[in-house]
Amino acid sequence: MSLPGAKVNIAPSTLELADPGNGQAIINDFSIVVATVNGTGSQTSNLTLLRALFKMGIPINGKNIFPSNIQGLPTWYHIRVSHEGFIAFREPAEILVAFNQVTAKADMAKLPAGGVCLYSTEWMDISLRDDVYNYGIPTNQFLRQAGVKGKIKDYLTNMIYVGAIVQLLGIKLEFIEEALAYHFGRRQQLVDQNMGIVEMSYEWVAENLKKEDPYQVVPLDQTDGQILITGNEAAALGAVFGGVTVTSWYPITPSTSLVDALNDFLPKIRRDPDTGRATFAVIQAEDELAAAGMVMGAGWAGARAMTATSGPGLSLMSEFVGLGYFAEIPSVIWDIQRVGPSTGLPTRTSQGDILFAYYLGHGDTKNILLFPATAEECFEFGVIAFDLAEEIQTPVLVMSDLDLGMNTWMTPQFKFPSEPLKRGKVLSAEEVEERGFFRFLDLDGDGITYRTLPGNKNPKSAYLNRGTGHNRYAVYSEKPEDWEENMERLNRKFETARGMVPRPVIDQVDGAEIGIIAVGSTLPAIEEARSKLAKSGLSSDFLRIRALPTNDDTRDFVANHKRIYVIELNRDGQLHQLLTVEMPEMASRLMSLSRINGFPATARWIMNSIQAHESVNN
Amino acid sequence: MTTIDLETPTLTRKDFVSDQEVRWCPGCGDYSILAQMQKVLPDLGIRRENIVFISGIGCSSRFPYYMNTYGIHSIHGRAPTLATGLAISNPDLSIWVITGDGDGLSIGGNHLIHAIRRNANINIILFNNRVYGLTKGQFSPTSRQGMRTKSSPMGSIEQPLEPLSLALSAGATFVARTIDTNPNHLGETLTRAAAHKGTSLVEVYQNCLIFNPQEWTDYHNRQTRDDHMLFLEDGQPMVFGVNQDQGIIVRDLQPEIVKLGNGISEDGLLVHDATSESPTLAYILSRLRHPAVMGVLREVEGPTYAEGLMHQVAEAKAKKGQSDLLSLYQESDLWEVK
Repeated sequence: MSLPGAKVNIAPSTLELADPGNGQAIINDFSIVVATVNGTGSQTSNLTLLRALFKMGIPINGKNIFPSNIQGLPTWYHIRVSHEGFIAFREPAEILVAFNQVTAKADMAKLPAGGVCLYSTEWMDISLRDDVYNYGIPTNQFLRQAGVKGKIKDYLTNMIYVGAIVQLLGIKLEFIEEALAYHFGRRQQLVDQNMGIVEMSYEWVAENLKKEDPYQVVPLDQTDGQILITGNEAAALGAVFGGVTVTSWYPITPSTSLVDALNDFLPKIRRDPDTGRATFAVIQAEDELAAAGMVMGAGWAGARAMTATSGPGLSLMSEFVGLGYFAEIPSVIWDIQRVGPSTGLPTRTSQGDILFAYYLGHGDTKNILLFPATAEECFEFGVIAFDLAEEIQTPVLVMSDLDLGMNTWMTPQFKFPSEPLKRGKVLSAEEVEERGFFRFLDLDGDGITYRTLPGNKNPKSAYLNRGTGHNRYAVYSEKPEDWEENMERLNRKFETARGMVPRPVIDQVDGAEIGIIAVGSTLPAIEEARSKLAKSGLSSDFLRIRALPTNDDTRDFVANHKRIYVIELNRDGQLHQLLTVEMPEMASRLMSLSRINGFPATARWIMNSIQAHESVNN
Repeated sequence: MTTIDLETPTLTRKDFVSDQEVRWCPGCGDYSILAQMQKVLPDLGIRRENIVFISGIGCSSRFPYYMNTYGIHSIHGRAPTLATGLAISNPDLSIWVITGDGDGLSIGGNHLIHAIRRNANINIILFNNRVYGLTKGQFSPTSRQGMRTKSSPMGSIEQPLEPLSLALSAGATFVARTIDTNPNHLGETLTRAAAHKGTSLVEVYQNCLIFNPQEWTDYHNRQTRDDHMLFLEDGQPMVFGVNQDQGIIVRDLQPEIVKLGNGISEDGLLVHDATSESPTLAYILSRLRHPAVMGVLREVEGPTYAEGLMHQVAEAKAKKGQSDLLSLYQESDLWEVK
């Protein structure tokens, strides 16, 4: 076995494709799973691969399946490559990078026959499968050869599999260098060091291994005009475009990266040009209860205020959300859902907070929920959540999840908002003078009343807001008729909201026999499943709810389909439950297709479940 | 019939090691605390089944995973409440709350104060690394002002909290501080906390190698640590320093560092008395930054919450006598239609 020197001349990929059994190469249509140990920098390697594939114009998605731990536990990174543009989670992956000794045996067992296993010849003492293509790499020899010592060893070890994958699949090396340059910015030394290892590995594989598997990539042009971004970064960017000025939060996975991004973006643009002082505040509170309180305080004062959290944090916020609903305070809460109940699985994805968030608060409380399904919608809803909160004067909860929030997604370039911020019914000092001010009097009949902001110069503008019973003039009242009037008005406001929140996205096809309803990040799996179901002869219409409360679009869709599958990632079919409550007369049409295991939805699960149900039905 | 041997068996360290693989980052101070806990528990003469470890959320809160005892890995900041309920329900238990500077002082600050105030019989071990670990490196309530983290990119503007001062303000009957890199002192401190009746609060300076690696460097380094820590001993003058030539005096209610020699002898120095009824000395010591005091600052007797409850029950019985359900039912305000 010969090893090249640290500096090598790079030859283009010259590996010939071997006969994959049926003589067919499998091009741009497979999944890679990289098994490593968390805290070893494998994320850099994985993003580098992802970005290079993206640069080649091939639709991709990257998902990090990681442990709730800082360093030392197994982590898996899934890269989906699909010329058809299907980027849902898919298991098992055909290509395994087995770079974690601890899980290697189990990881290898998952490979389908004919799959690929890339492993370190020095790390493992386990038998290889004879029905997969095995490629062994002497990782430690590589590092010795390159003179790599100390802490950086783990990081650079991960670049070895990058070089090997690049060679085996035919990824363009120049894109790897671009991706590294992007990742490390101006730190050219790091780019060179990492690239050196990639090139060494790339060259060694070319000289020492014979490619026999059928998997390869070729350039496409399907990522033009697209960007790569996580949902949480997109949400933060949207919030900035939406005019966020106050964020109060408490660290919790998987929402932390949203506020990290705000902390990254805001100091760059929110500076008073004259004084140089910050015109925003990001406050790490002592807990989520306090965070929600600060948001309500700021929202009441007229700031565009938000927080980001996840299930356990939302539990703590319920008290203030109840106040926000009843005292009618604009506020935005991003719930990046993870698996509950309780601490549950902090690093796994879920849509398990739907019912909780919708009714968050005790007594009769109903909240506005938005459901982004893509990074693009995270951006859009980052903006309009503030508009809706101020127009409807109520907490708005944006229901993202770990998969959407923390993983890296292709998305079309964001469209800048074309309309001015909508501040809702806020009276100026002059308007108070001209028309008077009656805080909870429903002048327009839509349930939405006029508010003033503390600091309004008109002495008649001040009022005491309260979580206790009040009449239309914001005066304390225990009168039954006042209580009923106020609660009925809040209900009227909620009905008004039905026409203000984002409408569902509907995709109808000719001859569809069934309908599908879903929210959020199950979208890619549903799109793929629908395509495959259609090919098997079962066409479906699809309505993707983007907000609660629902409106007539959803009612009509249900009315027009005999069988509708409501797909979601939770145990109890929470969206299904809500829909049956909304339209009990059509409840029997709605079938719940829900499951929760912590992983994103797969097209296979959806397709198999629907087919199984349909075969019984017909 | 199966009989259970109620004699306390002879236990060893191994009896307290659970079957879970310990998963903190390499070099984490938590390992040392775990090792000392598993070392001192066998000598306490408590049955394993009578020991409970309760934690909230955070790196330190993994601790109960690794203890082969009863335990609850509960919710963020709330461990003291569970522990209080437990201590009231079964006063025979040895209850340990494992928490950190985020779990115990930020989200759980409220409960910490009230647990201490009630003096329930629990041992609270607070791992202080002055940073959030599990959520990856945000500043905590004990972080230094100006500390730059992801969540404080321009430096934290908040005043840090001194956990021992807080505990003393809440009326703590046992307050101590130790450090992960001094295993003997750590073990002794845990043993004394266990022996205390009532709430004991032990702050452990604990190293987070990943997110705050420099925090305790001066306290670990052989060349500097004796200048940074003063080890308290009851009845002894407060002397510290690499050459043991510095001492603490109090002038105008302010502590001062003095150099021994040139007419200043140990006789004029503050003498430690953890059992002093007044918490003033302990409070002054808790505020010292250079040097930080190590050891038991305060150790006084006071009625525990469970004792108070039992006393009230006994008092009520003494006054009104033993009642029963039937008489309770008959005495209550029932309007019967006859």
